[in-house]
Amino acid sequence: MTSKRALPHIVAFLLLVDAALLYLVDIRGPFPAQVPLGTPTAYRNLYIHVPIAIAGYATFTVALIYALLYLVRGDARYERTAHAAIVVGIIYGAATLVTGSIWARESWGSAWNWDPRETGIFFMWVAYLIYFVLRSSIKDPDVAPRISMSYAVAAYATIPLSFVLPYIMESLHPRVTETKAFVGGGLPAVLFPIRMMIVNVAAILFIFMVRDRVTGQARRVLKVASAILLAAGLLVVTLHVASVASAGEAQLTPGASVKFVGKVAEAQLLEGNNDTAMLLLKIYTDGRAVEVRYVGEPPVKPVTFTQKKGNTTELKVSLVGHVVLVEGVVSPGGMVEARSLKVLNYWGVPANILIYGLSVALTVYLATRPGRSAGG
Amino acid sequence: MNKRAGLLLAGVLAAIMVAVGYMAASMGGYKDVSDLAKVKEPTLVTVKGVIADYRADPNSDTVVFVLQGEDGSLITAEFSYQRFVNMHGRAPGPWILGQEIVVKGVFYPSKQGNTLGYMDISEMLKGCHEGYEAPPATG
Repeated sequence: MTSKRALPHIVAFLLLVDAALLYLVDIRGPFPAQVPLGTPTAYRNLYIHVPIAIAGYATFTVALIYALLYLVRGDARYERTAHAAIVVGIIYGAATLVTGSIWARESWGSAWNWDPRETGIFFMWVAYLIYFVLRSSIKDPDVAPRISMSYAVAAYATIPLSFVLPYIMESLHPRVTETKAFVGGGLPAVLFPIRMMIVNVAAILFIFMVRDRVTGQARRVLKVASAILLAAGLLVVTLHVASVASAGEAQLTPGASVKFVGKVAEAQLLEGNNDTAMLLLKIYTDGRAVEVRYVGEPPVKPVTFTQKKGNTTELKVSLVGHVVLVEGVVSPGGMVEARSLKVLNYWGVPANILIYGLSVALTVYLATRPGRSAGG
Repeated sequence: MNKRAGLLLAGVLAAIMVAVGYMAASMGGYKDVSDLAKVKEPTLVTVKGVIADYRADPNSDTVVFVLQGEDGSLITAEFSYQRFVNMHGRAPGPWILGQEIVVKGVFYPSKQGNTLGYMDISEMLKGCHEGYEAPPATG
């Protein structure tokens, strides 16, 4: 098997592993035990949004290298590769903007607010979009590649700019050092780099497949793998919708059975540990607070964590801020005795998994559609 | 177009892109409450400040914050009580005092002492930097 023929099989394998990993991210992806705003599970987007964003940067870097090679050596193969890299980069750039906005809606309080990083990425995306307009508007086949490749080199300036903006301006966006601290140990230290590697390797290999087009059996293998990845996205979205749809309103009639969704405002560990705990919770649902007592396996582990504030160390319960599905019975005093307490993902986690699956499916479509290859 | 002209064009365009991108991002970034001293007419702004005081009234669906800037100047800023609860999962209380928030809305200047004016908040924002300080949890 030649290396060119092996590429689709390698990517298909990566996509299958990624489908399983994304399912793991959705159900078990670690998140910070406490966050300043929104539900902590929204931070599972760290394993989805960040690798896509870095893959966008990586594909545009490949475009820069090949555009420079074309400008220096004048070989048309370099121009075709740079063009394919920009095609893939535009898809990953769009996915970065959408997945980031969905995450920001929960964790920043607004989906779009022209934060310097948001503005920088948007500007980068538009700059590369203009490349296509420029390339198609120049009719002279001798001039078009040289002007469009010069433009592609120039457009790369938006990448370091978008990266440094949160360092030189006030920004809601975290810096590398902050996220690095979180993914530095435990399961995040495994899950994050593996996803980062898979998404980036697949994105870079896609460039050469979009350039050369995949045919024959490799085409079928690649399509099936991308369909499985997309199916994983549809599965997590369906599971999320089903879990939320099963809940009703919290009618606090003594003796009544209730099943409702709410946000944990306060939590107290009365006794227990990570295996079994008695928790007293104040949960907001439909604009009012409901007291809930739960005895059983804590839905978030570790059940408590310590936080340093100045010279003091506070013991905090990890469940605060989470959206939970409560199932139980209302006691005579109006408190809900929960027999089941489940943490619900922020909807943006399964939604972003689906968006990534759609982005990959679109890239695979471009790599496998019949006809002339990119830029050819 | 020769090799040198292509690279020169790339260099010039790159410089223009950095300049335009930087200016675009500068316009979108947020300022400190103290910067509102320069605002002379009602303006849409995004500013950060520390919550020095608050007053919450669920019946009128309002929560009014007193936000303090870096130089000690203050503004009052009004937000929807219900939206606050939906975002934070709990009602405003003493726990919000001392927290830094970023708010977007129309600022109406009316300087009185060190109070710079009033703001009608349309979006209440918060950076996620602190989130990464907590240890990982699973659920």
